[in-house]
Amino acid sequence: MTTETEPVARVNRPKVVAALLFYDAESQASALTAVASQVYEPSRVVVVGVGEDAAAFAASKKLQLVDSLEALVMGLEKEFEYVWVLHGDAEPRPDALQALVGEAKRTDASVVGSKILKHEDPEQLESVGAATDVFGEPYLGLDENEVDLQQYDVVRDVGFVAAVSLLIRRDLLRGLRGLDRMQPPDSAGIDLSQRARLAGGSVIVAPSSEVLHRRSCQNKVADWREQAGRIRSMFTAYKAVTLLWTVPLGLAVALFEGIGRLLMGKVAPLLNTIKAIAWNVAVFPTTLGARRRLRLIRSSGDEELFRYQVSGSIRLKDFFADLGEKLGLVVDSEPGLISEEDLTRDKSVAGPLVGGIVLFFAALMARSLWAGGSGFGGYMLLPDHPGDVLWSYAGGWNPTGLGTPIPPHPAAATVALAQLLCPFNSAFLTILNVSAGVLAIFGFSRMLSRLGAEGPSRHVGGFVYAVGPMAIAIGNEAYWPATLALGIFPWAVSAVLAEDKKGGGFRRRAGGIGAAMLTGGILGGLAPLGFFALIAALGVAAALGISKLSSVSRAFVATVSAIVVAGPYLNAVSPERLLNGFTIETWPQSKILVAALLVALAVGVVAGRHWVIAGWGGFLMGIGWMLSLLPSFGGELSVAAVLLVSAGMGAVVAEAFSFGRHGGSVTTAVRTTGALAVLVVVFSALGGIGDGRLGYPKGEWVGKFEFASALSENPGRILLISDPARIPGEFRVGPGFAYRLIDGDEVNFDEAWLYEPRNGDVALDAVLQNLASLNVTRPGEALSRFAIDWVVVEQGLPIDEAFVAQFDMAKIPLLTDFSVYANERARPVFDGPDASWVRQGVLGRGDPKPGLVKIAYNADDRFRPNPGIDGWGATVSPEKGSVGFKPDFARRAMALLGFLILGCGVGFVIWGRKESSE
Amino acid sequence: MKKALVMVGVFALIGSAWAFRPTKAEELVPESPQPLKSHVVACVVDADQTSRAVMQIVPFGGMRLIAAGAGSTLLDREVTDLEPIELSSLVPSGTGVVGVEFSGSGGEAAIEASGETSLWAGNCPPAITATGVITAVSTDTGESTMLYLANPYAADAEVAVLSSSEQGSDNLGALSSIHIPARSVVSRNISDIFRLRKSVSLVFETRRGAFHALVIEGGSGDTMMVEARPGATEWFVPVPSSIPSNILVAPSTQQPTSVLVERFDGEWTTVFEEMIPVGEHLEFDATTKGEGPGFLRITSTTPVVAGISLFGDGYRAGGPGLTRLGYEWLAVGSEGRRMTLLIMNPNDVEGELRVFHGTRQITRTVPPESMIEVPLLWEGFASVESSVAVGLAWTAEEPGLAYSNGYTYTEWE
Repeated sequence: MTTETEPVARVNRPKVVAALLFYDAESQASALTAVASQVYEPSRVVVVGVGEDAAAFAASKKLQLVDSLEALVMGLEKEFEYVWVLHGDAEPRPDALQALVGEAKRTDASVVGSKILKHEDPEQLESVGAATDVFGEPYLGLDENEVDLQQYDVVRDVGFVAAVSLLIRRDLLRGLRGLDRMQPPDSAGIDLSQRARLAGGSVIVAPSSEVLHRRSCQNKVADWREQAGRIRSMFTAYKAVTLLWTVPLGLAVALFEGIGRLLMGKVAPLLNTIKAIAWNVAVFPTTLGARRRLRLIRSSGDEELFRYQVSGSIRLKDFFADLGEKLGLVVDSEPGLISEEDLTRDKSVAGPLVGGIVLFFAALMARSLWAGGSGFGGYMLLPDHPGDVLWSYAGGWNPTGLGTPIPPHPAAATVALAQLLCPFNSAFLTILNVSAGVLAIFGFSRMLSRLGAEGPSRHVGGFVYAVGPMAIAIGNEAYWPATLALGIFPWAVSAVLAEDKKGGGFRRRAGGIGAAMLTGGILGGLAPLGFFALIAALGVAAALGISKLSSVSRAFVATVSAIVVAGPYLNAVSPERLLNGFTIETWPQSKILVAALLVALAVGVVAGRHWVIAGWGGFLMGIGWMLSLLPSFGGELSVAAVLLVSAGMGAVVAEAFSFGRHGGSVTTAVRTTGALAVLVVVFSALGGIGDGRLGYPKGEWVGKFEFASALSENPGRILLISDPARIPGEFRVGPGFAYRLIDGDEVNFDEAWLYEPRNGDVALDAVLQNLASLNVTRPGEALSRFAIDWVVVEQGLPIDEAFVAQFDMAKIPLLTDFSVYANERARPVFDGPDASWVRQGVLGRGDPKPGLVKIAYNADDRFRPNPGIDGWGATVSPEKGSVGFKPDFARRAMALLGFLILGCGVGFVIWGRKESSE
Repeated sequence: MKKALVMVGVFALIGSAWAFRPTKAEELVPESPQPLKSHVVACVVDADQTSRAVMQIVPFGGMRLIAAGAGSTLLDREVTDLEPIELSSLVPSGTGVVGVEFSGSGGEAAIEASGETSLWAGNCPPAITATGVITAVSTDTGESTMLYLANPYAADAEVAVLSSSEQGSDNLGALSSIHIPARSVVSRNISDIFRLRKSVSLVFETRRGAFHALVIEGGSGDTMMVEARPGATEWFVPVPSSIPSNILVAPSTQQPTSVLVERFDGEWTTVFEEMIPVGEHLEFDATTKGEGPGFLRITSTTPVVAGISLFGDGYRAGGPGLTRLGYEWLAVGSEGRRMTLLIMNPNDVEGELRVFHGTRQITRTVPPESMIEVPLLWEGFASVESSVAVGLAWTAEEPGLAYSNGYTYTEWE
């Protein structure tokens, strides 16, 4: 629909160059035809694009080709007054340019945008200029499929105009250096408009200029790219003081909305937010460059932008509007009841509401852990050098204790890998714990969906699974990897149970395989025997007929991935080591709780919507409990058992609470009994809400040993002697006490596990036995070969007496409940011919000199050069100036294969999702 | 049907697991370390008050000599020969601690010091880590009675000292908390703190760390040294026949204790049984309780320390009694003194003794429940072998008087 536009006088007509942004040849041809039919003819038409298609198109039409607007405008003669930026997928009406030029001259505007109509239905509006909120989110002010009744046909200042068709002064465009080439189409328009305004220009919309838009420009643009572009625009345009509050607030809004949408069954918004943030981190240096360029021409403050922004957050308004719509769905239905149909519909409000409540209480119960502010039980302190942990895992030397060639626990390597990949190191623990908790709750719901369950009771099951009795049992044992494993286990099961949709192509199948590789691999990386739980859960599901044999291939892939990722560790440790060190109790402490679970199981089988899932849960609990009867039960097997019991409890509770069948043989009394049993289970978990630690001990070790690094530039080792209940990580047992060595000044996660004692460990044990007999007057000398700089003894232990009448360990009043003794005879880990020898990472270096480097590591013939033995310790020749270690190539190969599996898993998942999104 | 089968299967599985569920794993039960066996003995040398002092070491294994002045670094050297050590070479001035660390075995170090008119000797005491007592000292001579607290160790120590005398309990602020820095000696002149007490006992309650305590009671005449010992419920005190002496019994705990005193001089006589109130000690004249050489056995219901104080015209000596009996004994000292071995036999059978002294060997018999005195001209240390478990102390004279216990290396059990 067009309106009469006052013709521009032919005398002194400004010269315009039309810049056609190339997207595809077919659309471009239509656009070119439309441009050629303009009543106000542009003096020149230029194709802006890169690639062979663009070059071929320009050549075929004998048009000039430039790779960017910046290149065009930099070489453009001054006689051109305006540049008409036009998408190649747009078709301007014949008087579109005339209207733009006319309004530009009349209003002296710098940027004039067109009214954009949908090409497939030119009656419908796409954009008539728009505003944004402070976070750059566009507010079009249009209803969905709103018809153009000329209701917006007013020339006015706007926050931004679409870059589909806009006329801009050549000199301004030159100053702005064109469109930001890293911006996707929509946010590019917002970005250009904002920069033009900050440069002193005005931005108006001329509705009399109408352009039809195919939107093929968006074909190859991922959803998250527009969001990423808007974040980049904020960083480019806003001053620092504005960014100080808009960035954290924007992040909070995006995460809130993402999690809210997740509760409503949409994963993409949260994922898109994460991707957008990650992309901006990656391209931040270029953003700073764009910001610097804008500063050169900036003439207005941020308040100029605020004038054209709407208040509040568009995202939150949309979110609450959607939520309200869903609430309305239920409110409008039968009063007081949620109908059967509502329960089966994903759009039911009950799911998000119950999910929200569950998430709230789970966050409350785990708030201290999710805050990540303090460690607990020594398991939460991250490795200082995650790269070293990965090196050790890949067949290198493991410096834990007195050192061992056995790789660190796979969980240490998995966390170290995640730590390396996470751009926010300071918030890493919080991200990891929150992710594990949210993944556990909603992964469990998703798993039950894959098994055929539905309705909001799945979230209640997820609650019991993620923060219920078994999660608290894990916390009581302070075995953090099992908490993380709870997060990934249901996703591994889901990945295997995912159905191949009809018409799914190779890429989609590859995506499914990738999900199995990724989730199985992570499961193995956190719980080396977790694949037992996976096989058991899938096996029972197959036996009960709730999964199909088609998932066997994915089950195989997931299992193999789990084994390969844990391979270096499984290859190195003995079965005894795998089954010892700790035991997570699988039996609930309370008999009432066991009785409630059995009642819930009975009700779930009798009255649940899907009784077979309750049966599945019962079998998982039974298998987990049966495993605990094995004489060698413990260690990693107890983790596998806990995964099974926890999943079983969750499934039983979900079905007992599902209230599937109305009337008939299932009486209200049965359903009430089931609900009461579920409440007993839920409230038994809520009992631990007090300290928000899920049973984990308080993080008393955080920062406790910082004195070591404060008082010594190169702190060696700390010998911690304590009650076994307090000691962080695994420990060895002396007469009347537990003890362990701590490397440096804190107990890191990778140090948590101790391995089979080697000669040095036996020697240290003998020294401590002797010390405990209170017959040693030179403990410092006795401990110096072990490079022990400090001894920290829990006060009240009898062995503390051993440090009273002795000559070479000075007591320093540093801690209130522990005695701290400084070793006056301390020697370094790398005791070389001179003081130049120091530890660097796991190994050491110093000046090359004749002599011997005594290393306070257990002797091993793979140290280089010239490995030797000094008592129990290792020695090498110092002549090369460094100490090396020849890796175990088999373990290195396995570790690399494990990394490859995880990487391929990620790649396949992304590749497969792209096909589904297309 | 399928549902019923599943239910039966699930409940059978869970029921079996419940029936055989494991009991709670046993927790680690701490084992108590063995009782304290200190291997360090230490004495104090006040170079300004001693004209000549030597240390004699009786070794049975590796030894390291340790010495430290106030705040100084620790002298630490291996001892390879058994020649008497001139302490002036270790502590040339001021007050210092000199001790011996015995590694892997027992051992004893004794100190003997002399001036123009004085002679004193004593065994270097072991470390006190809990409680200890010095008894049988006095402040009525008008001369200095110095309390020395030596801490050769790496950690600071702190002690509270409680005192009692014939006037009852003295709780003095000056002694209520004494800080003994690592590797240093702290001294207090207790004559200045409480004057003119005929008999004084000091009870040490350790707040932290470990230390060695002794008193040197000096003056224009003779000098005596008494070291601190931990409490015990059975003591033997050899009593010389020709020297006036007092016995003091001081509890090491703040509890009333009942004390039984028996004398053995060929006959076994119960002397008396008496209750010692809290904060007091028991003193009695040993020589009035019997004639001739003999020894006392003092038993108590709570730990005490029993000691002897010998005094006369211009001489004084004293020290704690014995808590151990043994078959082989050593008595350390230096050459050129007239001295007497006091060998007591609490058994009801006679003991055959062989005394090795320099190049000589003497054979003697000690009757049952009696004590013999063996006079010797001192020639370094003497050793005694006995067919029964006996106790040994010794005195040395001219000028002045010294009294000390022997050291047994094969104990009676």
